[in-house]
Amino acid sequence: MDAISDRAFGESSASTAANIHRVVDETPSLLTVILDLHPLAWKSCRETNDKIDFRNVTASMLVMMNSHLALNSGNRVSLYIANSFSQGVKRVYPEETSLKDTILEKDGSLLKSVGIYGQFKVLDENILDTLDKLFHNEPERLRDIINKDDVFVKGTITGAISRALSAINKLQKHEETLNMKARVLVISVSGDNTIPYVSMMNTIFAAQKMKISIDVCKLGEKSIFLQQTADATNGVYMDIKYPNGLIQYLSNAFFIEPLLRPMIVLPSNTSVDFRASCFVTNKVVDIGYVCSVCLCILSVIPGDERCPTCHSPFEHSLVTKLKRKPKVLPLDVKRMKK
Amino acid sequence: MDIDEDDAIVKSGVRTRATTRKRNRSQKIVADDEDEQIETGKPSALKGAGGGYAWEDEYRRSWDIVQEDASGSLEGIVSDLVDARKRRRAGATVPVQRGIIRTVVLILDYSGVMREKDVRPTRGVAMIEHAVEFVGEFFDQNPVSQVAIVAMRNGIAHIVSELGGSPHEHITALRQLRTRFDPEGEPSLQNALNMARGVLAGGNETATREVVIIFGALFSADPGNIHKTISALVKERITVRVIGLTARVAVCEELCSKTSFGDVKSTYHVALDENHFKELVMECVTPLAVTKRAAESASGFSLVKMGFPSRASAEVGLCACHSQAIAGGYVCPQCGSKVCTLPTVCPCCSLTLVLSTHLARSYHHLFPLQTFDDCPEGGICLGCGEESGAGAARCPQCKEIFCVDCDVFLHETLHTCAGCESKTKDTITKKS
Ligand SMILES: [Zn+2]
Ligand SMILES: [Zn+2]
Ligand SMILES: [Zn+2]
Ligand SMILES: [Zn+2]
Repeated sequence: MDAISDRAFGESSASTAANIHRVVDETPSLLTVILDLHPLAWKSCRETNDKIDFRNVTASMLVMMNSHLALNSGNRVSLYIANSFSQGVKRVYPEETSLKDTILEKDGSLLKSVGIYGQFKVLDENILDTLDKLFHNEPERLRDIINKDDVFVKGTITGAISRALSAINKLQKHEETLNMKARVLVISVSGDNTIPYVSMMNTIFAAQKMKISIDVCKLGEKSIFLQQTADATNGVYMDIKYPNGLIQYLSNAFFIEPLLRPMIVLPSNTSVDFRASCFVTNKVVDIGYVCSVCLCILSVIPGDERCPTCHSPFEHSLVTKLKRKPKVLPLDVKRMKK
Repeated sequence: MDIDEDDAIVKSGVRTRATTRKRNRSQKIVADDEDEQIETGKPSALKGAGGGYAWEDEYRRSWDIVQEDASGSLEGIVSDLVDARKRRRAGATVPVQRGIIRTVVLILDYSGVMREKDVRPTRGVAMIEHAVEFVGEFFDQNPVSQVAIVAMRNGIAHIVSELGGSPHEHITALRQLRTRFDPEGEPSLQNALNMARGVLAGGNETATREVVIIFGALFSADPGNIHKTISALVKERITVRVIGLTARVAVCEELCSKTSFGDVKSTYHVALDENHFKELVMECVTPLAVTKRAAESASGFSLVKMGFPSRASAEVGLCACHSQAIAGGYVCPQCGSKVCTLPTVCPCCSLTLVLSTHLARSYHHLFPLQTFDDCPEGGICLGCGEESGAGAARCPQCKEIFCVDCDVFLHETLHTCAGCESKTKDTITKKS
């Protein structure tokens, strides 16, 4: 192990030589994966890029989780699914007690493999069976929704991150897992319009406080908020250009332990969009008006000169000053003559 | 100790009267001006827990509060303490208007009395420790605000650090104050307040103007009439909060009452013990609620135009603020100039530049998470997936159960209900 780390970080580690020991010190870590199942987003993903395949994504994800377990016997993994229509957020692994009973009734498992390492088998079986069961249980109504154009399903990615963070918080309070490192990986397909802004910001801030990195693996359209999330928590954000090679992305770019992050140039995009969303119109803005009482962001000055969120009246003279358009002043003719 | 300070009142320039909280039954000191207390019209505020005056209460040591139950276990008392903590939180869940863009002048008493050792190791050292923590937490929660620090020493006011938004600068200045100077001489409230007025006069017009005083002495050596200074503060719409270390002082009471429209209860406190002292200092991190009368008297609140810049590419270029070559940085969305740190004011077009995450740190003041109901029957906690045990709580909105740890985490760190955010049912709406 020493030799490996020396070769990999030989040049850059003169100043961080002391840290190497901390890296070698094998503190177990927890990897929490959040898988986005937003039905409408998956539909549009499939339409625009036929290379994105749910089977492939699941398989790559399982390989990544297995390899995380293989790194250290103390390592743990956990998986949440978000945005599923009938379930909202569900913890798939370690399974919730309510789910456990129903799965035991099933006779054969989907996973057919001989000679697989015990812990992998438990993990893979659990996840595959639960996902399969979920798709069978998604009601007919979901099919109706997918075939209509004008509906909107609220995203629950923030709920999934919130639950992951609470579980990590609890885990780090238990005595035997006190020093457990943790990180979160979000595999997302849905766009920004499904993300509730305030709770997204709250989760970013909480993760920042807990020093937990949130990595974002983005399939489909770009997401400004998830980009900000990764940036603020020292995580990795990547738009996946070649979904066929997802396994490569997951096992390289997204596989950097939080301890190693200060020493490695993260494969994040250099330019991050820090724009915010307007509280009233939900449009993304780069210049906005901010109420000094509640700090809500407005893209336009409200007609009644009152804050739409906290109802405080705005000072009239200030509002007129802000509304004033830039003017080209006429040249002072008299002075010009002199 | 108390007797010395009573003598000191006479020495000081303006005779400021003090009432002393009796710390010990063996020291029979009677407050010298009970009449005046009644004149100020708020005897109810002075009532102690037992219904009598606060100074008539027996002094409670922290270890007296903890008592073992019949089986000799401390479990009961611990759960009581947890409950008490929750209850305190419950009071804070009503959304109120608060001024979130703030300018605060922190005035520290650094006079001779701060050498007292009733707070460990000494009052002065403990105060600076708390001030350092206050500055850190303050900028964490009020990222678009500014702080200045003033010290009262040898009868004059010294500026410790100028008005600014960098926690690092303030903390370094505080550490220097501690290592280079010792508390000495008399404090002067008037001088310090006048200096604070000067500092606040140059600040941002749209921000709140606040002064927080940590006051260890029972007297003030002032060059002139402090009442005139107080009226000036009222005129300039400056709110003053005082944290006393010894006892309630009449002039501080008047100072707080006049500058906060009579709301002495939330602005003037005297520390009961070390923990309480720290709590009081940390309380000042939360922005003050906008009082009704202040809201009515003002012609309205301000609306600030802000820019949300994007990160510049990694190429090295000069920043507009310090003219230094930097890689990265942020680009002003209005004029396109490059700045190196946020939050800041664009040096070119004077647009306030912030990150949306900076603003987001204050959102929990605006959208507080409602207090969960008690749920004695318990169940599986939604947050951690474990059996909740005693002290479980249920979210009134989504009816999910949370254990004590997750409940505290959701309310104190996350400020969002993990259950409510997880539901998709009833959220399918027609696109407008
Ligand atoms: Zn507002
Ligand atoms: Zn500019
Ligand atoms: Zn829990
Ligand atoms: Zn809830």
